[in-house]
Amino acid sequence: MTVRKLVVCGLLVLLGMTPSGGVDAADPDGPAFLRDVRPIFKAHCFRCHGAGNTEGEFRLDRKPLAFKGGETGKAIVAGQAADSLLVQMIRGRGPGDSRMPPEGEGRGLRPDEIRVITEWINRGAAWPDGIDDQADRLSLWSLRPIRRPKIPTVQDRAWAENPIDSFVLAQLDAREMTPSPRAQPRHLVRRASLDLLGLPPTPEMVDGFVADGAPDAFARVIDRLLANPHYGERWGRHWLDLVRYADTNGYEVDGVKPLAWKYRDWVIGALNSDRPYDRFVTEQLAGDEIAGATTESILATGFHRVGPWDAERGASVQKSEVIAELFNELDDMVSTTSQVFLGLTMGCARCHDHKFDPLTARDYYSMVAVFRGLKREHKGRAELARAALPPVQLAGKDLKSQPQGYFFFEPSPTPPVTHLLKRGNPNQPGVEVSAAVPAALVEKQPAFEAADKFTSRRRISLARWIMSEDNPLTRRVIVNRVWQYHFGTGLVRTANDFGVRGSLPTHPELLDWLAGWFGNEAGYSLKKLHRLIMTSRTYATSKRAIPANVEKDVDNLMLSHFPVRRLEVEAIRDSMLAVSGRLNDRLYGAPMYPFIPKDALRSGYNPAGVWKPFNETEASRRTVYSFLKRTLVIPFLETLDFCDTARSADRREVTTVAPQALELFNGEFVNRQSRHFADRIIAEAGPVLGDQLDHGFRLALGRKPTRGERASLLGFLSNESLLLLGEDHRRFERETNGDPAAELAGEITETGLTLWLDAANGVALNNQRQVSRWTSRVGSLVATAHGDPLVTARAIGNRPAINFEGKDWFSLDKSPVTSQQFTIIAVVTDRGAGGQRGSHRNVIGNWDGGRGNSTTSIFLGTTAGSKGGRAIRLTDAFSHREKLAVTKPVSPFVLTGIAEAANVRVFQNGQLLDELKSPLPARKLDTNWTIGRQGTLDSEYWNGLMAELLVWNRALTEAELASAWRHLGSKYKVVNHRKPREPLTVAAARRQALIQVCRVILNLNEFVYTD
Amino acid sequence: MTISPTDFVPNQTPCGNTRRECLWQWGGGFAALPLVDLMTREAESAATVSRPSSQKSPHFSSTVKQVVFFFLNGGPSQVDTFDYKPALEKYQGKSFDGGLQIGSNGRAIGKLAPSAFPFRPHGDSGLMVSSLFPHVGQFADDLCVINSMYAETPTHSPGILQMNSGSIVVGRPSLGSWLGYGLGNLNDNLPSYVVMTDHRGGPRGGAGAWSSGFMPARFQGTLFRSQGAPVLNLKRPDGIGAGTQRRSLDLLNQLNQQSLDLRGGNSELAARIASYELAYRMQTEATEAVDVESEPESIQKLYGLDDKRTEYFGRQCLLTRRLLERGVRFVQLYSGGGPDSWDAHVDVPDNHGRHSFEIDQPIAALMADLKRQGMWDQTLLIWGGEFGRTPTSEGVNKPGRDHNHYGFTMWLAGGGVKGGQRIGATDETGFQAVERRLHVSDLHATILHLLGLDHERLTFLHEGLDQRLTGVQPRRVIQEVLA
Repeated sequence: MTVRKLVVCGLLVLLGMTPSGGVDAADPDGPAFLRDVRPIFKAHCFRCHGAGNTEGEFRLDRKPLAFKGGETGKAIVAGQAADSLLVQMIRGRGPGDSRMPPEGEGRGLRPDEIRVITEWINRGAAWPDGIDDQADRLSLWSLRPIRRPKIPTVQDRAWAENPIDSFVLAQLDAREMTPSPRAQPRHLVRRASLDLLGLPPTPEMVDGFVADGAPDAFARVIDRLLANPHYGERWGRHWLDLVRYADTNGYEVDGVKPLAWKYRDWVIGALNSDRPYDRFVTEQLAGDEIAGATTESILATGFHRVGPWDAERGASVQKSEVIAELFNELDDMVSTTSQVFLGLTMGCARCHDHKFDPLTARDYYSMVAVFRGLKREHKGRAELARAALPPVQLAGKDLKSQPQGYFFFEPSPTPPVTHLLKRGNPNQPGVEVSAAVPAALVEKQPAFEAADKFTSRRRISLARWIMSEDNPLTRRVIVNRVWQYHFGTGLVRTANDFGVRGSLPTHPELLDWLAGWFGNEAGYSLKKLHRLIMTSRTYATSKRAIPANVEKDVDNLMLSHFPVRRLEVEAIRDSMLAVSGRLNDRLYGAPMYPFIPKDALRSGYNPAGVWKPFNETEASRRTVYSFLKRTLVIPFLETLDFCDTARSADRREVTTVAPQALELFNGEFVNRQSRHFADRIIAEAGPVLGDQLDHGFRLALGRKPTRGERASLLGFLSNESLLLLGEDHRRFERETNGDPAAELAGEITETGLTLWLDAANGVALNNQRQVSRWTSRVGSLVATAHGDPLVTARAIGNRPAINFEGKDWFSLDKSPVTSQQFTIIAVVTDRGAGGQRGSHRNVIGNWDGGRGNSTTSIFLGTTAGSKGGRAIRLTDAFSHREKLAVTKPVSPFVLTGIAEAANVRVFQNGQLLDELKSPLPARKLDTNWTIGRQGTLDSEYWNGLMAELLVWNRALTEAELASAWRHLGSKYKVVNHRKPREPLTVAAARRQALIQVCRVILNLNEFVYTD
Repeated sequence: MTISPTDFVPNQTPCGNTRRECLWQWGGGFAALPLVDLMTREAESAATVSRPSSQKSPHFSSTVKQVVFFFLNGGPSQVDTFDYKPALEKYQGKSFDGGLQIGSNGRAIGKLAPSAFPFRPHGDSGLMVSSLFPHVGQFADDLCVINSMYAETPTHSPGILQMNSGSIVVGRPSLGSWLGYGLGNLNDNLPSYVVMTDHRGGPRGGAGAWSSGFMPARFQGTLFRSQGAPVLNLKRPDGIGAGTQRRSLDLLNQLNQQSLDLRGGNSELAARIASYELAYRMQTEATEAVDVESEPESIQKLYGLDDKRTEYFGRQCLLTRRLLERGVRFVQLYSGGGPDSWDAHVDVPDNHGRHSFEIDQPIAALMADLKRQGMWDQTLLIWGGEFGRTPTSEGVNKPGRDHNHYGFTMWLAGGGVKGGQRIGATDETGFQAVERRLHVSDLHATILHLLGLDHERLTFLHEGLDQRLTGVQPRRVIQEVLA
């Protein structure tokens, strides 16, 4: 046999399958009807010999009819395969050598299939009574009752530390595989911490565990981690993936879901308090219908409402649109509920019976009926929150003053009638259906309660069934999910699909044992389940694979070693914050806004307003608190495989592509954390390089560097700081000694430049040699002169300038600024207030008191300072700024005002005069612009020269500003007052080098992968 | 004959790749790494070494090396674009019963409705093209229009998946991944498979459409942003010089390599090391590649960059040409996305009028430009969406049309394609493919063939099966397409 065949067979064996589709050759009882025989009948015979079709008067889907036989004779003679027509037929030895299935009706049966049927008949053709109607249900493994399998006996009893291990080892034994050795303690504690908290362990925790030789040391570590509230943040995020959580509705409107985060907080809190899973489920489905409903349990029902909603259609004037969207919402609820709790893809049955699973369209609409009474509170396209009070307490209260939350409600206990919709079409209602659970899942429909005064009580009824003993899916599905988040892959790899198309369990008995244990012994405690899984020897296995095992089981389905996998983006980001010392570990509350680069915002509809300004303290909270906007996924998250929020996501993709490297190596976040990390190391470890490296590694990786690593790192540090010092020295020399080439290299960036007035260009004079128009060098803006400004030749740096005297001013035909961020640079002289009233004078602005823009306008100008000098004004919100006054104002200077995302600054000749250190309050941008006076006000006229005036509709970068100043400085021979910088010190160079090392550590494979 | 894994992958190494791939994956080519040593010791000729490290040979020779796929997201209407149906005039207002379920979920079915856009013959071939594509129409003699496509679903997300991966179920590699796997890279410094979505949003199902499925992650598409820097974080961080950047990256690679060696190799970790090197090279090469502004004004104008309506797609088409020049293997451009795709349920004239205007001139410009640059014969162009639209209106006397996967149109042009012809036909209403019915996977087989790959031999072992882009059903290359 070739290697490849071995691999194929091996894989089938691993999956618990044999080529016949289910018979275990070793099963001493021979083929079982439901498991082995019926699937063959179903696949090959029912089409012609089943319900609605009885070729040859023979049916094979009903026991009495099958044994009765058809026109040709008796099909099954129990105990005598050779005499059974069925066997003769499938062998192609029927009367006249006829074969079943006949030519053209599918392939003939394979020898192994024939063997199964032959064997089954020879052994007595045992066909259990009364199962034919339930057969589909019972033949799908996940729908069979959970039976508690016996814990297998294994050779190496010492290895099996708890029952999980016996199941795992039994399957390894059967394949003659030996599991990898136990992981080293420092790996284990790191594995557990990343797993439960999504954060690396502190060095103290690692040391404590490594030193603790007690047999229960690891169990105590796990208990400690489980008691840490960061656990809820980590595992709550897993749940939020499943329930397609986001803070906005998506689609075109993408409106904010008010207070949706209260549901997110409920999830985190429920996990932290170890809310038993039955309770956890019931509150989310029907927290308003349970006995003893509270604000908390009502917030839990936000579960139904956090999915996408097309507000455009939902709030449409067209009734058909509203109805169509309503059924989309209901589909979202049915699909999410059935996938999350039951692992069933009910959504497939919206338009037709499920192609693969025993789910019908009728089942689907019966589920729709469960949610039919729920209503979304909204005003047009805007959604509204609601008082989170149990219905019984709502009457007579001032609802506004009650705790608010985001969830659906049932306005009436009698929901509208639900019809089966033919092909999912609301215009084609079929039969009326009542609330029910999918027929194939139950022997008998569970009772749905009658409505009470407030609600239909359908959701609570569904919840009861979902959590009932008779339903085997719920427990299997949840223990599989928990297993998956611990090991990266579930025992069933398709965690949201336990149907026919889903994967078979790799360890079916273990899955059932866990499901049973979870419901009984553990009392639905998720923390107990974590503890059981994590204290198993299986969990403690080293990540290192034994080559022989890889050959037999390349995908490690048998768990012979611990599967290495990349951390989810949240754990990567949060770990970086923890290591840099900047993690803001405040729990719960309104969302925060991580940094988004401008380039990424630019692709949105509303680049200026879509995202909140960066606030580092807030943005340093755990990633689970990020504002999740469906149409603008935070690039850091998106790049690192954040889940789709459109529907339930049962696992994170792991891709490995170059943009991730760019994000983690060049991106703002990691470089910022690298600086913090380096500063922390210097502060905590002192100046010795070796100590610094040890501390950095211990913080990030829970270990010291190896000898080889240390050599590489020390070499890098000393080399890099020397190179940095050398580079800086050369640059400094160039700067201080002057570099004429560099001076001329400066340039005006035209990106976002909306106005560029230059007195040497575009000035139109009237016949009196007075200026009539001043036209921008870029774009199409034109300034029309008022008063009688004149051009002064060779005014500044041998170049012309407009001379503003008394009442000269210009009006602009269009606004140069349409964004809350802007940059204004003017080359001017300032002769003071002159004879006018007041002391302000203005270069440019859009002040208009008559149109309500007296305090919210933009303007740049100067005024009398408190100490007799001149102060700068850049809007009313940033006025009389004179930390440094304007020096020598009568000499030409370059005046700069810039409003950035998080700061407002003014400069004279490149020297910072003052700054606001917070964003500029919103400006009103729709009024007209003037140059040389205060908007519509007949005062505050500029008194001085103006050679050049530039306005950008954005904030320039430092490099662009510097370049523009260099350019203007050389052009107008204005002395750059910017203080020469200090040369790089040795300490600073060492810090720079250490920052690089920190950036490297945060990018190591070891840092972003499980241990 | 049974193929063993050693036949499947020549020179097998622990990670399951060829030695050459391993060197590339594990960092061969990094200036400061000991692996360079190994590489030179292999005594390969300089020419071999300088060849992009992962280029592979096709099954048979072909002039076509690169592909551009214009994906009209949402489903363009065939009877309003390239499938001329004069009979619709005669049937206007009549009910239609194609004997099949029409349209998608819960939508009103109206009456047969002729196109609002007049068709006229174009070129020597006289190919009928509607007034929605006047510029593309000028290239009628280059177009191979397939009118008889059909797909398996009238739903967007699975339809988009099928058109991209051959399957309506998620988790399978997309066409660009198969090409990358089969042919390797032409340039290691740029992603081989680039996707550009519409500025209004991506297709439904998002990145699933350019996923590498069960193949290694390095075969998946790289998303270029539609505005601003196409790839975020291409620039070095402020204050970090070029030397520092390179030395830091070398340090990272060295440390990662040491622990990888200790661990005995892991393809995902090795791929992650390689991704940093690719990212580093992208910093220079991609920055230069995406500098559309450096193109002469006449070229920018040709692509419609001077008109707000054509600017976005025009920029992407021009960028596409620059990427093709630099050896990007597969570029997929989505037209329409987010809330405003080609999904014209409400108003075809408005929707298709706008969308076709946005892309018609830019596509024609790219065609002209490829010819001018001598790149025509090595480039295959594909045009179409996940399905078409019904010949009926959606609702009585409404101007919208619903989804239709029973019959729709795609066109091919460029290298290896016989232009100026129509293949197959829908019925006289344009609803269902009736003559020379062609499945999406037949189209895939043809695309692979045009690039020198046999769709039955291009396989990837997964879950014990030799997986193919075209699946298990028998699929055939559409011979008429071939020049």
